[in-house]
Amino acid sequence: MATTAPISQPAIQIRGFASYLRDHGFLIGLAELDAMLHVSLLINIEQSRLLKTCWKGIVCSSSGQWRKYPDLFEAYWYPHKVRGSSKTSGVERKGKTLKQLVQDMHASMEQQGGKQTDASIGLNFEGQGEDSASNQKSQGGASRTDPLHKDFKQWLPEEIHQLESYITPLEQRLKRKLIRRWRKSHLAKRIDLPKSMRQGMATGGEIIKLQMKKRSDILPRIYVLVDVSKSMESHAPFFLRIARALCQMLHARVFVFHTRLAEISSLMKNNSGRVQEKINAVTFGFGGGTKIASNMESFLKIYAKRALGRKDIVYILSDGYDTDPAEQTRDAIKAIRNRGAALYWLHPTKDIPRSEAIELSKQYINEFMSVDNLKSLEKLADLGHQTFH
Amino acid sequence: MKPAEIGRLLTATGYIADAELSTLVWMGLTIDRPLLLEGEAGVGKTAIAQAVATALKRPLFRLQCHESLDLNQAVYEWNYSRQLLEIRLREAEQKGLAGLRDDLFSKEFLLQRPLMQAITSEQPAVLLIDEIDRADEAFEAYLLEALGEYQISVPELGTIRATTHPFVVLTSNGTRDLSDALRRRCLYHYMDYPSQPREIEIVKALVPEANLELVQQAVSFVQKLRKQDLEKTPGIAETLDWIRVLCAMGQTSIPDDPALILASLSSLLKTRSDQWQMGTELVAKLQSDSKVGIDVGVAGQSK
Repeated sequence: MATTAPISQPAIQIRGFASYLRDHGFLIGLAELDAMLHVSLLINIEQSRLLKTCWKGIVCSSSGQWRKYPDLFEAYWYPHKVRGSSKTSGVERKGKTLKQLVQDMHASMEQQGGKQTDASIGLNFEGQGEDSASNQKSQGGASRTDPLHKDFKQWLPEEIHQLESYITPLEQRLKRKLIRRWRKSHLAKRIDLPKSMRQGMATGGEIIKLQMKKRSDILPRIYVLVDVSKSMESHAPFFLRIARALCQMLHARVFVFHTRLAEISSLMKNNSGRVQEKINAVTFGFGGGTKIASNMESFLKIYAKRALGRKDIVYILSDGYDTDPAEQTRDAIKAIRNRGAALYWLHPTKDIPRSEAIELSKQYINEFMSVDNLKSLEKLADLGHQTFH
Repeated sequence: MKPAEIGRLLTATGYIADAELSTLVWMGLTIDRPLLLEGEAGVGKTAIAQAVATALKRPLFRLQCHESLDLNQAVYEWNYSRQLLEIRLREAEQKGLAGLRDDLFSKEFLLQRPLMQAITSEQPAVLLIDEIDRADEAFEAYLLEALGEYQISVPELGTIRATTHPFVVLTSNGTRDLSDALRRRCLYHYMDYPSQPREIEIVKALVPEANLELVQQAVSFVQKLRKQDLEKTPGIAETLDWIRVLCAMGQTSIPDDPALILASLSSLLKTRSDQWQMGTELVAKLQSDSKVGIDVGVAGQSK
C-alpha cells in the first residue's frame, strides 16, 4: 500500500501519540490508528478534549490500560502540566497542543476539498516501523536507566530451544488436569444429542450411532510476576526470558514490578528485538526499592480480582528483598493462596532467600525453586507435582 | 446525533450514563464498532444495551454466554424434530420425495438464534453478547468473523449477509482474559462503581419513591461498604435493592439501630463470609461515617 501522498502534520502527531502508547504496552495497529483519525475529523474544534474520551475507547483494551490512559494522554499532549519527567519512551513530540492539532486537521481537510483520505493522513506505515520509531528516540529515559543490561537479542536459538524444551513438559502436565465435571469419572461419556440427530439424517432419521461429546481441556491460568528491581538487575533479563516463554507457550500473563506493578503480556507476545527497551519504558520512573507486598495486593485487586481461581498458578520470580513490612507480604501471599491458586517462588540464589518477608510467608508458598541457570529449569514441570494430580 | 444527545436519550430511559459512556455509545454508532464493556458485576453493563435499544427504539437480541455455548445455541440450528416429522409425513402421505432435500434445508426449518436474528433483522438491532468471558475461545474466534464481516455462512443455504448492522455490546466480568484480536475489534470501556453523586442520581431516577435523606445516607453507606475487603462487592443493583427494602420497611433515613440495618443487609451482601464479617460494630461505624459524609455535604452536590 505504498503511496506518495503527503502526510499531514496532525496525522504525524497522532501517529506519534499512537507510537508513544504502543511503547506503554497498548495494542495499536492500523485499524486503531485509522479509527483515531476518523474520530478526530468528526469532532468539533471546540470539543477537542472530547477526543481524549473517544480515543480512550479505541486504544484501551484492558482495565489496566483504562486506568493508565489519562496520565499518558496528559503527559503526551500537555507535558507542561505534568510535573517532572513525563516522557518514558523517548518519543519526542514537537509543537502543537491537541486543540491546535484538531484545528489543523480540519483545515487540511478543507484544503483538500473535504476529501481526507487514509493516504493523505499518513496511514502508510512503510518506513514507519520500529526502526524509524527508534530514530526518533534521541534521549529515551529507558535507555539511560536500563536496569536490564543484557538484551533479549543476545540469546542464541539453541538456548531458546532448550528453554522451551523445559516448558513443554509443564504444558503437557497442565493439560492433564481435568475440569470438574469430568473429574469424577474421566472415562464417562456424555451424549451429544443434536450431533446424533444430525448424523441420523444420513440414515433416514434413524439414530444408528450415538455421538458423544468430546472432553475439552481447560488450561489453568498462569500468572508470572517478575521482580525488576535494582537487586535483580543481573537476573531480570533471564527471568524475563523465562516469562516470555511461559507467555508464548502457555498464554501466561506477565507482570513486572518493583515499586509498582505493570502488565507486559502484550509485549511478551511479540518477537520484537525491542522488547527489552519497551519493558524499560514501562518500568521507567518506578523509583527505588521493591514493594512485593503492595504489588501482590495490586495484582490481586486490579488484575486478578475475579480471574484467579483454584486451578490457577502464580509464579513469582524474585530474590525476596522487600521494603514493605514482612507481615504485609505474608498477608498478601496468603490472600493469593486463599483463592486456591498455587504459588511458586523462583529465586536466583542457590538457597531459599532468607529475607524476613520470605521467612514469614514460607508456609503459604507452595514451593521454592532455585533458577540460577538454564538447566535448573529442568525441574519446572515437577513443581507442584501434587497439585497437578 | 451528538454524544450529549445520546446521554439525554439514555437518561430518558432511566439509565444515567456518564459523559464517557455516552461518548462511547455515540462512537460505536458512528464508526460502526462493537462495544466491549468490562467491570464488576452489577455496575450496569447489561443495562446499557437495554437502555440503548429502548432509547433508539431498536429490537434487542440477547445472547447469554456460558461454558458450553456452541454455534447451535448462538447462531442457528436446524429444527431436527420438525425435519424428521416432515420426512415421516411425506412418507405417510405417499407424496413424491423429489425436492425433499431442498425443502428440508430451507429457512422454514432453520431456527434462528440471537446472532442470526440480529444480523437478519430488517430494522437495525441491538445485539447484547453477555458475559463473553464465559464462552470458550473457539466461540470467540467465530464471533470475530461474524462481527467483522456481519455475515454468517450456513453450508446448506449459503452466506447470509446483514441487511442492517446491529449495534453490538459485549460484556465481560473478567473471569477469563479475552483475546487481543477481539479486544481490538471493539471499543473498550471499563465500568467502575459509580461516584457517590452519580449513584445518588441513579437511585433517585430508579427509586423515585425513596426519601432523599434515605437515598443519600444509604448510598454513602454502600460507598463505604465497597471499600471493605468483601468477597463480592455490592453493585448498583444491590444498592437499589437495599433502598427498596428500606423503603418497604417505611424508613425515611438509615435506621439508627445497627441490628435493623444488619437485618436488611442480605440484599447487599451476597456471600456467607461477607455476611459473617459484617458485625454490629462495623455497621455502626459505617453508619456514623456515612452520616458524617452527608453532613459535610459530600452528596449535597447532586441535589
